[in-house]
Amino acid sequence: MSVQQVDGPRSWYGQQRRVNCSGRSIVALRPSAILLVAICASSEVIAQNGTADGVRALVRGDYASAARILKPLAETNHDADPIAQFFLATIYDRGHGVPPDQIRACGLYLKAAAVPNALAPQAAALAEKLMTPLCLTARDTIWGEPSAATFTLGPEHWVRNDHDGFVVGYKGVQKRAPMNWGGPGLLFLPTRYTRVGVTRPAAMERHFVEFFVWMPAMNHTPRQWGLIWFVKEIVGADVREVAGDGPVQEIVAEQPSTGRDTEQYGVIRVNADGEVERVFFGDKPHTIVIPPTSDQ
Amino acid sequence: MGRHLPLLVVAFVVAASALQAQTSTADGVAAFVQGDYERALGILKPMAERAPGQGEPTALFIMGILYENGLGVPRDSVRACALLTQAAGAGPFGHQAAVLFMALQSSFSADDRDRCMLLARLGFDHRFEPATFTFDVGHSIDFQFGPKGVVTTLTYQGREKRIDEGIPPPGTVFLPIRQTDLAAQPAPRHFIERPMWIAKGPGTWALFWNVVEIVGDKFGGGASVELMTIVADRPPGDIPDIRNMAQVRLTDSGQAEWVVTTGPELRSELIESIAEREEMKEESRRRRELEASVDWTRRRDGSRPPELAPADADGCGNVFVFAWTPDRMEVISIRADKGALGLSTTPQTFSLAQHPGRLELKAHVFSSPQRNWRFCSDSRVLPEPAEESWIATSGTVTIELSPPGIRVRSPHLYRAIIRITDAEFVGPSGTRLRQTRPIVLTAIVGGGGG
Repeated sequence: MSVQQVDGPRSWYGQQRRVNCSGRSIVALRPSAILLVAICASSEVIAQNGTADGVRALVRGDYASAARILKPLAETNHDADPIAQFFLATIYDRGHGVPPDQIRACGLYLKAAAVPNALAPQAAALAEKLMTPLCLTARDTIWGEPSAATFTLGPEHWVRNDHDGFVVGYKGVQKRAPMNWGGPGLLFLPTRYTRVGVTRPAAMERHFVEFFVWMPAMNHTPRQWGLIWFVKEIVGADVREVAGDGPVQEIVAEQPSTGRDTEQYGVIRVNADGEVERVFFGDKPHTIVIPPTSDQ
Repeated sequence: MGRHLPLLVVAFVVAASALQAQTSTADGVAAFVQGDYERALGILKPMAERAPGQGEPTALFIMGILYENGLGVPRDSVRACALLTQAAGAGPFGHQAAVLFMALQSSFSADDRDRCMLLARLGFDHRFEPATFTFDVGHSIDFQFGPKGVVTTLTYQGREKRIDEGIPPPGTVFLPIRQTDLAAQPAPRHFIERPMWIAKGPGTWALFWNVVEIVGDKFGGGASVELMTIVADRPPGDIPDIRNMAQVRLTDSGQAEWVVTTGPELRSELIESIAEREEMKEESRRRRELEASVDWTRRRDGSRPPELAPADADGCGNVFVFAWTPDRMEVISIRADKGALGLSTTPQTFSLAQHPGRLELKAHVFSSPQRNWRFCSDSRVLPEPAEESWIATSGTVTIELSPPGIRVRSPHLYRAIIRITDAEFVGPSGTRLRQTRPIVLTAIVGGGGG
């Protein structure tokens, strides 16, 4: 399998910080639902068995299995295990088998440091090394990333996205495009696939994978959310950037709706000239034409 | 295909043992995750606390956390720091170990930082036991494990001499320090024996035996001898009976000697007396002083007549004695054939004119100061300096030898005392020069060279 590097949505954090953070007085949100400390004995035993299995995999160097086992134990609103959080943090800290993600690692370390446990002092010391304002957001929220989805684009042509990026299958060849696209407090709406039949510059089908993500503002009460729409075009085995990625809508709400109807925010369709256009229905309705990529 | 089979088997065995090692580390870490610290310690401690550089990184990391947090063991942040230092940079938690040991160090006092580095470099199984030995009232020696290694304090007549020995070789395992007193004449002699295991390589350990004499506030003669080598992960836990392998003792003639009674190298050596050691030190001190006073840049006429006023004699062979003037630009040499002349402890007087070839007296004149000379030395400075030789053709020489044994470790050496009077020297151009003052040369001879 070959590998292609694709830009992730991380740049929006910077934009959001510029928009929402005034000077240095960044106050992290403290949402109501974090780290339930009261853990009943039976579930603790179950959770720790799972953590031990994950850590065994980690020690053996099987980082993919370790991350798969530890994630649900660490990144949950309910009975999160600080030991699982610590060890999952070490995986992201240096990028063992995953793209390194110090914000995610730092948030997990801080969570692991927040309740008494065998690794709390070390978690605190390690978080201190990675501390940024986003780390506090990561501590106070659940890490959001798109759920896995697979779409068939045509015969011998498919795309799968998971936590770590895309895999495109094209004429029997698989190509991976890793992406660092999760983030603290992000709420991913269901991933959408749109196929558009164009006539210009030539008759063909174009394939778009679309993500709608609610991103919490860091220092606003009541809580503010911005909806980010980002799109990737699949061209053969490649994943291409698409113009127009960015905010669609802002709302004030404790929790935005995560319903399946993303078409109220924007659609990709063919226009009267036979080209692809990206139509924004949000706060500032507008339309942009998506030009064909160079080799189409 | 057939000839690849052994390789495949080896690869399989290696892979299987690697898998096994990883599995047991994973078992230990899983026990830690489940809060079973006793089991975690049982598995991880032996994997972590090997000789430096040989610990398993993940085991070191978890052990560091157990000691830092006091889980299943008494809290010990210095030991935690040392474990994390060894864990740093390797294994899945190498980065975290590095961050944590630096965080720990930054919270430490200077002494604790040193202790951490000492443990990290020396290892966790050094088995050093502090000890104090008393020789006499107000005369004692004390061994402690300080932040930077073993600290020796020698107390004599109310004064303390402190020696920081620094960090021993990585992996060193100390055995108990012992005092041995010998009932020598005229006074007892005191020795300290310090056996230790030194890592010679992965899984190989050498037992070294170090012995040193304590003389007042000074350290006297001694030895460092390798007694045996073993193949083992760690040196054995029991203390070997060193006395069956090596000891200091008195010879029948009352001299101190160390002797190795086991292993491939059975040997013994006499240990200098206090007086002899002091005399040797005094002699080398005097030589250093004389050399320090020389103006090495000075130049003189190489054709000048010799001054015949030497300051310092040395010698070798049977018998060759030479002596420099203080400016190092002239040397007087005398060669006397001990056997042919029948030299002995009784002073004997010879006429230079009557023993050509068996008794030879010369003065050598140089135009610049000489650091070395070609006699009684293995070293040569090339090109050899130009010299003008003045040969004595007449005069009287009295030679007296001491009995051999003036250097206990070189028993064949003896002292020659040579008195020269009324000698006449002939220079290269036939110039004659008569000695006006008597010359007395005293030197230890009998060694090689000449």
